[in-house]
Amino acid sequence: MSRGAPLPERRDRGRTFEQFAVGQRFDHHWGRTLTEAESIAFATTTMNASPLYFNAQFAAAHGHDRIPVDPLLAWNIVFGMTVEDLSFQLAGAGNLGYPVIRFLRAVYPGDTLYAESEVLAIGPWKGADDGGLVHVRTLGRNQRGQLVLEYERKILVRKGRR
Amino acid sequence: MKHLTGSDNYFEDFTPGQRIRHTLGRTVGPEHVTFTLQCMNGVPLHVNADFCATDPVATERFGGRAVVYGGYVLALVRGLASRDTSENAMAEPGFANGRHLKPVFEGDTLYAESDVIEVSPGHDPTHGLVRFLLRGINQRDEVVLEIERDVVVRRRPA
Repeated sequence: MSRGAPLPERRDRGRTFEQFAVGQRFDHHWGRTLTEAESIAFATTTMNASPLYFNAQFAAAHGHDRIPVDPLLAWNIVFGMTVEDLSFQLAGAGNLGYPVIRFLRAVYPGDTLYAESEVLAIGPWKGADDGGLVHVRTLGRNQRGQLVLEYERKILVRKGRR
Repeated sequence: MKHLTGSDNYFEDFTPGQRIRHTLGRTVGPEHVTFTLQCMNGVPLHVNADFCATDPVATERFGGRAVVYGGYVLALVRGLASRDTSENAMAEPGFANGRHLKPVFEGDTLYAESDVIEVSPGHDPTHGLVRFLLRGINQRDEVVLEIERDVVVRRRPA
């Protein structure tokens, strides 16, 4: 059913393959403060059996003043901040893989994470006429600017339909 | 505190070539959208059923269904493996060579396997490094995810 008056196109976000170039850098939006509640919920809902991530007494006995954030949650949070810039326009399988993911420093509840990325390579992808390969490196930093994690990701990005 | 964790998953218990089929399975429910949005990931292919049903790529490649965000798949599969591989972990320094081999959809059930690739005792008497090949498997026994995973595992207490 039409709403009558002419409507503008729905505003588009994200980049198509043609809009990426080697060496391009992104300081991604938003930043994100992590809480202890979501960290424990992540551990329990993903059935993580390591008490390090949900038992404060156990964490203290193993060298942590507070329950550390599961590094895989920190990675997911950093990843989420990158998607509007890097992978909003997925083609096909979209996420081709992660050559490397490294956790460099512990993250604790109350820390705020930021994300930045650089395009390492672009190229064709076998069997995908509608998309191309974008290979990025993303860094996650805390509120003190310290590097807490880094990873590389290969993305199959949609080509523009012009 | 050693009663809080298992006695069959210390560093000494891992041998290269060992394959562990982990006990648990986990069905992916609508909570995958909640997690994806908790990560502020608004990619339409994961969270917008209308887009998935009408976008040409989404309909052709994925049958018009939303695809579960890969970071959630990794988190679930790692969780399923954790009881046997990282209950006694001191740290998990990273992953390498990860690939999503099949899409995961809501309603799929995930299982996990870990192959022990390498054990490195290092010089610290309290722990060592174990490298696993972690595999996520669906209810049709298809491999959906493969990734190498490093875990720093405590040695068995005296």
